[in-house]
Amino acid sequence: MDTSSEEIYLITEIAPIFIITIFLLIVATGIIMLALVYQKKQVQYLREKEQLKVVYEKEILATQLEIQEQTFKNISQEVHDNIGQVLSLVKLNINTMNTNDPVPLQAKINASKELITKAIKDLRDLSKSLNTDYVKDLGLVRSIEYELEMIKNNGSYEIQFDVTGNKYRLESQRELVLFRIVQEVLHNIIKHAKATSIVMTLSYEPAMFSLTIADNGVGFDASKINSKNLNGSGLGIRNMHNRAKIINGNFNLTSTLGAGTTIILTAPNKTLNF
Amino acid sequence: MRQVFKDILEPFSYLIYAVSFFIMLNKGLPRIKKILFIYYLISIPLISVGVLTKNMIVNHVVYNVFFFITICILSFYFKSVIFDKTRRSIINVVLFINVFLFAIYDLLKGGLSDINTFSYAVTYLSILIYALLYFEHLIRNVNELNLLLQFDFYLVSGYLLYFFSCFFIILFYDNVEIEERAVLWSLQNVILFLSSILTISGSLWIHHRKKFI
Repeated sequence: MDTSSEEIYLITEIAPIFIITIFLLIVATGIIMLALVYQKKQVQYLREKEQLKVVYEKEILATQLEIQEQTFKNISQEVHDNIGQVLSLVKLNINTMNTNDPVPLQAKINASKELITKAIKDLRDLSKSLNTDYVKDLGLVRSIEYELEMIKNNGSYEIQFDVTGNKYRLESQRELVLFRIVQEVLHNIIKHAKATSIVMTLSYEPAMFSLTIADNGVGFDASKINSKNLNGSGLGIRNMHNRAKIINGNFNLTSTLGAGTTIILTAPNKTLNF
Repeated sequence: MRQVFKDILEPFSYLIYAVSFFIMLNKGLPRIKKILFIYYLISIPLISVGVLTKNMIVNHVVYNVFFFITICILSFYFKSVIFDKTRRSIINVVLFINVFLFAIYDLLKGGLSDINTFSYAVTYLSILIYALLYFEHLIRNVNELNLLLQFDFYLVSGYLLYFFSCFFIILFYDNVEIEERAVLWSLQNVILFLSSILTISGSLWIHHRKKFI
């Protein structure tokens, strides 16, 4: 092979191989670099996910405690206003019983029996709510029904409760958060709204769950709540907003002065992955 | 030795690819990967006919048809691993360009029996774009799954290496003497073989790790 043919050989045969090999090495290095960047990002992603999980668990714990607190308040009120009164009436009946006069005696015994039956039923209902897992055991619908029954017994509200679609159970922690939001909304209605009617609808669509609570109370200026006013009831609403977020839900509140308030909460029907 | 690189290595590499998919078959492969498995199985006899034939027209027809099938199947494969709407639209556009070029050059202008380096370059560049889109998608959508346990990562890395070299080879192709083209084909086959080794290493590694999970 002379010099010129050697040069041609180098240009035509070796040069492409050399160039391609160099480029391939660059690509291979690029792939390795990409794998390293991916691993680094993955560590960061897992750390963030772990933090999110901790926040979620903390929030669930806080929710459980708040439900307990609210339940104890309800029990205290129920015992004082209802069971206490009923038992006082029974005591009064017993005190005024006259064994010499059999007709009123029998009537008083019957009335006392009825009152004691009612007290037993109320106590049985109360004992259910003492179980900290009652939302989990009874389910969201039944727990809300129970909550509404308690408000109805008060006699100040006309209550309408509708469930549409084919009912399904959401993940128990999500039901707990939803129930706490319902409790908070009802608490706000009782405390601030001066309403006479509460309409609640649970809608079970295959892909989406939605909850609507509307009252006919005095309403308020919702823009004040949205403008980072975190004190008083604003904090409660912000809390509900954040809780809806942790279950991948969307919390929407509309209120008009003098025309009542409506909240709509929607959440996807799927399991949360942590 | 050169004959081995030029003729046998290519169908052998496709056999290795088919085996890689076969190993992954019982790991619940999605439908598109089962199609890829069949594609590699069919590639073995098809490419064998292409390289062993003495008739260059048959050789060119086989390769033209083979690369057209490749771009179609790989377009659908990349659409199945990339979930972003914009990137999927890019794949659709790229596929359309390839189908258009095949229809114009190979079917209408009767170029099916010739080597059209432009069409080949477009096909190789298309798959390069797909691979880069996949990596970009991968890095933007990090999940908890270990990268080294993702079969797609090995497969696409192999594609990137192979089609990158193919693209450069086709750029040189027209400027190289006919006798020296065999060297380029051999080089292409060696890189295809390395890519298939990378893929089968990935599937064996995943198979091995999943046995212990």
